[in-house]
Amino acid sequence: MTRTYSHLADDIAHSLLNQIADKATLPDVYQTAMLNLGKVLGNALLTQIEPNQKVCLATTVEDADFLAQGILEQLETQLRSVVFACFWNCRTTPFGLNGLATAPILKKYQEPTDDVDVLIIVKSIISGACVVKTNLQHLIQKIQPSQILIVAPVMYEKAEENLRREFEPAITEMFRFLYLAKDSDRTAEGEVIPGIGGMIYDRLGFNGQPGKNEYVPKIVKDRRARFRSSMAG
Amino acid sequence: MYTPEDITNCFDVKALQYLQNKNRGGTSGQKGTRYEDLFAVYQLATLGMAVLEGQQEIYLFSQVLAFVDDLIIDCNTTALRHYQLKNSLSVSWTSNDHQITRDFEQQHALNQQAKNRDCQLYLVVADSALQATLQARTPQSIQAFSQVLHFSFSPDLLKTIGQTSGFYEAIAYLSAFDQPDPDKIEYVAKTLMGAWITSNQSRISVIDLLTQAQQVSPCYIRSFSQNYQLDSEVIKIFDAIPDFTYNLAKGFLHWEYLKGLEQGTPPYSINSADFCRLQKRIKRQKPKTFDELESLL
Repeated sequence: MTRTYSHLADDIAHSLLNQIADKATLPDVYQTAMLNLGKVLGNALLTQIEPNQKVCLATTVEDADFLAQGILEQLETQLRSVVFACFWNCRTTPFGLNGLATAPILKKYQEPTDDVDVLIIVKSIISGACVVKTNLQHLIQKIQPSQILIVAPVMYEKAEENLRREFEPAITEMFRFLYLAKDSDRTAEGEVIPGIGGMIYDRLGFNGQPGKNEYVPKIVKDRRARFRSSMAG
Repeated sequence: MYTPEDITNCFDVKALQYLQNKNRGGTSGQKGTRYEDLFAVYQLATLGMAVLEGQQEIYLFSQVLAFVDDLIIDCNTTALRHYQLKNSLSVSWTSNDHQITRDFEQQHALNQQAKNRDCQLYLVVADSALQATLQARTPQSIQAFSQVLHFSFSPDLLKTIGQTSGFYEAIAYLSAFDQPDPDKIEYVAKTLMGAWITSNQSRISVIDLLTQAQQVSPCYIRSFSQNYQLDSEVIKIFDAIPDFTYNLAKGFLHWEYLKGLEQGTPPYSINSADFCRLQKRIKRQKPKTFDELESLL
């Protein structure tokens, strides 16, 4: 088992990473740890973004109320506005063929924006990069950022290479990866070791993939209500 | 498709032994040969419209006892189409003692004698310059029934789909969407590929492959039926929810809230048992706002 830490991982980050890697950590404690990891990464992101830049933060339903919420809280302390997007993906392997792994979007919440300077993609762990690839491909159809920041507390060591392979150089040259720890081991089932201590859906307290796809994050409900009010007003 | 007797009657035992060895090699070498799979998916997708709209009966064959057998398409009413795929830059009509030329000659003769069928034979390569060269140098003996095609190959599925004329349109037609996003194009293509890879490739109909692909969950392959409608009570519930709109294109429920701020498509068709359960839940809970409806969708 080999784990390396990035320069962003301070003592607090080390402790939070240990907490999520520990399989005994209960879902509510795990959720708080993810929220706090989001704050660590949010502070790191602020050093990469100019205050006048237009930012879009995109995440998945399972990470929205925890990791992404933590990041957003920090970003909104210094940035005027951050556009938010959330995706409900279904990771699947048609006919059980691993080589055909894919993650179609079943549902999405995406706030409208004319242009974006910085696109931030947030995920609790990036391993095969299938979900990140799908959501990024979707987003760059309509927005043309000049910077794409891919953010995760933990990455598998080959995840960056996997993701870069999926895009043209014109896109990959905008990539910057922000992570706290990089792991080199993965089980035959694809679980990164120690990673985030197992399958994210179960660790966060969702009932597997179907359970997380029925969930509507609080952050989505709150932002949607604000959006609805602004339209009405 | 062809029996050993067909081969020995047309040629000799040596030809039969050659095909049996070739067939064994083809089958064992099939793992990881994605160029062939991708081409089969392209053909499957482009044939899909003829099958669904025109009720045509079309069969696909691969790695059977034949001289040109990477893919064979039998539309019954037209000439048999045989494809030999070569994802390499060093292909020529004359290499390996004129092997490809001889295979083409013998395949044509076999179809005429054993099946009394016309055929078109295609050599498919991944490089456009090579395609032009091979086309220009097609041997006289097979010119009347042979053609060289270019089918590009990239490990990036979406790239191959985008680079091949008609491929994107065919996948989009088969999808559950009028204007599918890249994730749906990729998903439909991969589902078709899975159906093809796991099928009995020695003889399978296009409609059977499409049906198998359609049964995979999540499903984003269009409904084959034109008869689909929502429960009248569900229509009333939907219509009363402010800022909620929907359409039933291709037999799926496509919904939007607040002009696209939020949108989705349940991954099953309106005629499915899953959708029936969804309607029951909606009727039971009678949501009056989108907030109440959303977790059901």
